[in-house]
Amino acid sequence: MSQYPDFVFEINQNEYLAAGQREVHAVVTLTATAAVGGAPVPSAGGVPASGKDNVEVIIIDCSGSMDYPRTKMMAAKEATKVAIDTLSDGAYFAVVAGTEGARVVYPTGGQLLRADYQSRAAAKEAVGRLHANGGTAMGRWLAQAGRIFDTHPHAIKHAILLTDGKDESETPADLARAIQASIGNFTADCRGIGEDWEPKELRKIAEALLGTVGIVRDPARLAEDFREMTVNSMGKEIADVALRLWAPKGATIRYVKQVSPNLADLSGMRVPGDNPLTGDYPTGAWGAENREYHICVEVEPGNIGQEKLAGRVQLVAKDAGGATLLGEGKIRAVWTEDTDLSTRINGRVAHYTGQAEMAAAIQEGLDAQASGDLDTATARLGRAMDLAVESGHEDTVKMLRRVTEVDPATSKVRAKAKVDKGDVMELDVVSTKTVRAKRN
Amino acid sequence: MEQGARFCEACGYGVDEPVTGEEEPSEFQGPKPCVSCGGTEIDAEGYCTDCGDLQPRRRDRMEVDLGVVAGISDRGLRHHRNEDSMALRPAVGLDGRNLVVAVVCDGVSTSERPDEASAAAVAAAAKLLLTAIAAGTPEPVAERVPEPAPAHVDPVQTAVMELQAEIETEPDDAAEEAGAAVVIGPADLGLISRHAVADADRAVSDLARDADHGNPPACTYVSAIVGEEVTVAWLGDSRAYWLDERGTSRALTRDDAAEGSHAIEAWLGADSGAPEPHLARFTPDGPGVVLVCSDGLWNYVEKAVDLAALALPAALTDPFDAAARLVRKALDSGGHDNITAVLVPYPVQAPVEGAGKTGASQQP
Repeated sequence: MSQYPDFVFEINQNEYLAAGQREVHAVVTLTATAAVGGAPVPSAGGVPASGKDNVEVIIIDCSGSMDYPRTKMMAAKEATKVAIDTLSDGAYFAVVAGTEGARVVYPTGGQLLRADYQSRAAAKEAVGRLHANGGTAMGRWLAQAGRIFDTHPHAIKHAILLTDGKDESETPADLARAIQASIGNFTADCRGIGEDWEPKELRKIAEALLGTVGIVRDPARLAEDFREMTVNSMGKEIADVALRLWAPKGATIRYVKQVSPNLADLSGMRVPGDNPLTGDYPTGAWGAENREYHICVEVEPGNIGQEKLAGRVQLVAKDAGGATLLGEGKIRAVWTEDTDLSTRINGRVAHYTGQAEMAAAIQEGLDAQASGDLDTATARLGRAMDLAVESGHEDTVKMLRRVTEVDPATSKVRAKAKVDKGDVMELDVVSTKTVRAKRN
Repeated sequence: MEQGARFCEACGYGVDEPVTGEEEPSEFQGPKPCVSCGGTEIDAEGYCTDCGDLQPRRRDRMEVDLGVVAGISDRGLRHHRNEDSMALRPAVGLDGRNLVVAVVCDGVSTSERPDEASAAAVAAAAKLLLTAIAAGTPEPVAERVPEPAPAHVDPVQTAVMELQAEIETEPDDAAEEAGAAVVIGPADLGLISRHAVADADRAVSDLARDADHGNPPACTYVSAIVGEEVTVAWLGDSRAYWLDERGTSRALTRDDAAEGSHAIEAWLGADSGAPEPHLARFTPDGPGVVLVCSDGLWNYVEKAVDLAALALPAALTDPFDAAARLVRKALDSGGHDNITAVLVPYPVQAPVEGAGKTGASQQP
């Protein structure tokens, strides 16, 4: 069993509530520092010295459209080869060609092989022979990845999924079922290339599988993106970590969201615990990294002066031996008549509330813009612009400028009537990326 | 003497040990169910594992009734913890006279861990007072304090008198070193009051840590030793009052703060600068009660005559009941601060067997 990273666990909140107030907000900040000191060292027989096992599955869209333009398929092959070269020595890996089906192009013998000179060369050769021909059924791709991962249940399991189109060879229900079956089994980062894929579809997969969504507007950038994702995946030290949340009887957990580095609502992923007041929210695999979570619990209001434990948050590693506690903290509620205390807004909670509102405003604004409702689009994108500027979210400000213009009459931001599709998709994708809260 | 080695036959507490109301409840009481939902499991931090409500802490409402002295310290309605502390207990001097010791400290809210400051201060001070009363003071004492002028001819409401006496060693040590040549007399109450403040100051200073960001734990101080006469020592804005029904009720202390201000100018703690306490002596001319209290009480009822009207005549026979009335008055008036009131009926009675009861109330 590998050693776990060290976690620093921090909770920020304003615990003071005015009389009758029920909603308690807190931001949990988790910082993991690598326990084994960087990348695993190769050792005899290609087995990683760290003792942890990584499995990487790279899923490449091989639908017919990948050849239009041809640069997409070429870039996909090139990027996959870069990813294979980036794998740690000894990591297990597979390459899946995704169409209306999902064919394992490497390894062909049914059993996963560890990355070494030979297996890398064979895999790259197989990738070179990929050709575009067929449809798109991402649910089947995920199911195939799931079957591959099942052969190494205790490994750190990660998939890279690249597509250029919509999920049109199966029903949305098929995809939803496949996503559901993958939750908690493996994590996945998703990339869309070209302008014919659907950001909402890919976001659904990435959010559920605790990964990122990215848009590749320039095929030449794809290889670097694949390299980064692979480095990141290989850096994971611990496979399955969950936030375990206890809330008092009668409380309602409004939400549990990852808010940094990107937004992902974990609320629907709750796995009931041993005790009816406890549930686990998966956070996937961890390397040396920093993430933040916004938790909102609604509790029965107490009397003035009363303190209530509104939540107890634990970070637990789930492993073959059960669960290991990595850190814990309290979400408190104290009712007070002192309005100086109860009206104070915790900086971190405010920041991430703003980031979530910004993401929603962007997505609603873009939807309205697409449907021709320019008034709503102007209102929502204007709000998003304010929040992006306020939080110093420069990427988003830049992208919002491409879909908006300044009304010369009012000198206010308004939604453009005609926008570039790629700009819209890029803004949509970037909407869930957050900037970190400054230290309090 | 080893702490806890000897116990008072009357009340069962160790003879040196002051009673604070923060004591562990006796074992047979067993774990209490949650005060909010009746849940039976309370976690190590005091939260109900069902409804999450934090159980009242012992400090939230401390009650001590020793018959001859009683006190209540209450969190109040606006503060999330009780930063006041009290320590009290009857004592018998070497000369056989009955005395009562009462100490009240109020943690400075802007300092770190003010609740710990006040708890450390009252414990240290009361322990020194009780030990010194039991052991007496070696004679001759350097410059005995002159007898104060009779109270009824004192035109000022507050009698302040700085003591000049200096004793370098602890009374016990001095006695041991000097052997049989030194006669031990009744404790010099003014002198031991000053020593008690010095001990309390050390105890609070010892709580300071590097991480206190220039705000080490700090608290106010007021003590009263009530015998034939009343000896009061204080720093800050905690007070002692004399209350009677003859129209001669008065404050016995004068705050270390500008008039109408809560910015105190003297306190105990690492940044106190080892302050000299104010001392006052007063001999009542008839029955009454000594009140030792924190500003959480006198903020609402400041005049001695008004406090007397609330506390008397009940305080003469049932000081606990009277203390409860005073605290209730402050709570009903808003309970903005922690409230502590200790009452010592005068003349002081011999401790009554079986009268002692103490503990944290679950339902203030």
